[in-house]
Amino acid sequence: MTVRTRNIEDLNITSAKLEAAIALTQAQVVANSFDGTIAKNAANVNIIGGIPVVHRVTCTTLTGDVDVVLTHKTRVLAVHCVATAAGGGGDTVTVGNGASAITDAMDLNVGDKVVVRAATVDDAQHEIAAGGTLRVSGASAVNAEVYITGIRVA
Amino acid sequence: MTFRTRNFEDLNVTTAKLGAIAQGNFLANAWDGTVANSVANVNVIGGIPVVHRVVAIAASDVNVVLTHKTRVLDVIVVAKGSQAGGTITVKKTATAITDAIVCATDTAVTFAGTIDDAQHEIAAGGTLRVTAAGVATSAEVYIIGVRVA
Repeated sequence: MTVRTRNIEDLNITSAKLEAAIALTQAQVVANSFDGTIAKNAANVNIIGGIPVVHRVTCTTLTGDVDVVLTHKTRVLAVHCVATAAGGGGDTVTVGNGASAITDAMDLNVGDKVVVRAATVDDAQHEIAAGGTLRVSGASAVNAEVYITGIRVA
Repeated sequence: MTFRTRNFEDLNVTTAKLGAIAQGNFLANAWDGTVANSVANVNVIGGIPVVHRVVAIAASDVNVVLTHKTRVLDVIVVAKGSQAGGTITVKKTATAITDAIVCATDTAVTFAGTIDDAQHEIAAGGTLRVTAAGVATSAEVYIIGVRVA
């Protein structure tokens, strides 16, 4: 008799049932599907490098906030902005942990395509809890792509 | 007829018998650079970067013995205190990879100004070293790299 999947009522291929030597290859992973969900928390003085995560926020003539409610606790390592149009006086972007600033107000009164990096990161605010808010605040109708680089932490 | 697990005495599930596996089938919060592929020159598909984070110790070295060969791409320093003239240098054992990165003002973020491509690859078993100069130099140091063959 040929046994087919439909003949198997309760077969569960759990880790305990996999061969000890099995090695899942990259080809068996759904392409273009991994995000920070599977990233391990990065400890201090980690021996094997952790996986960074990136949040990107498009600011189009932004005056106000764009909020991202995070599902995983994350430490913000760096932020940089790419101007998508020539800036004007008062154009800034600030990244925050809710209402508390993590970065300085980055000056986007620059030419189109210029990269502007966060000059300060406040280590008292840089970890956003699961359920916390990553906030991108724009002033003076700023135009930029904002990239927030972080790592998951315990 | 219904078969149950107990009816399969010698069922072996090899990789050839598995289809594409969704992220939900992997243990969450479990992956690190172990699974990252080596990144070749002129790679067509982008590789996965890896990060080492080290809290620098004033006037001292912090050593990390790597288990995987890694090329250092960039270094970010977030100062945790103020120390006039304080610096952070990332090294391959005793040989500098970066310049002495300024680490003088609390909360300031600074980056590597130079990276020596004769030293930027650390072999498996080699030592990634973070050297803090200045008796009060304190910083979170982030070393960004890729695995290489």
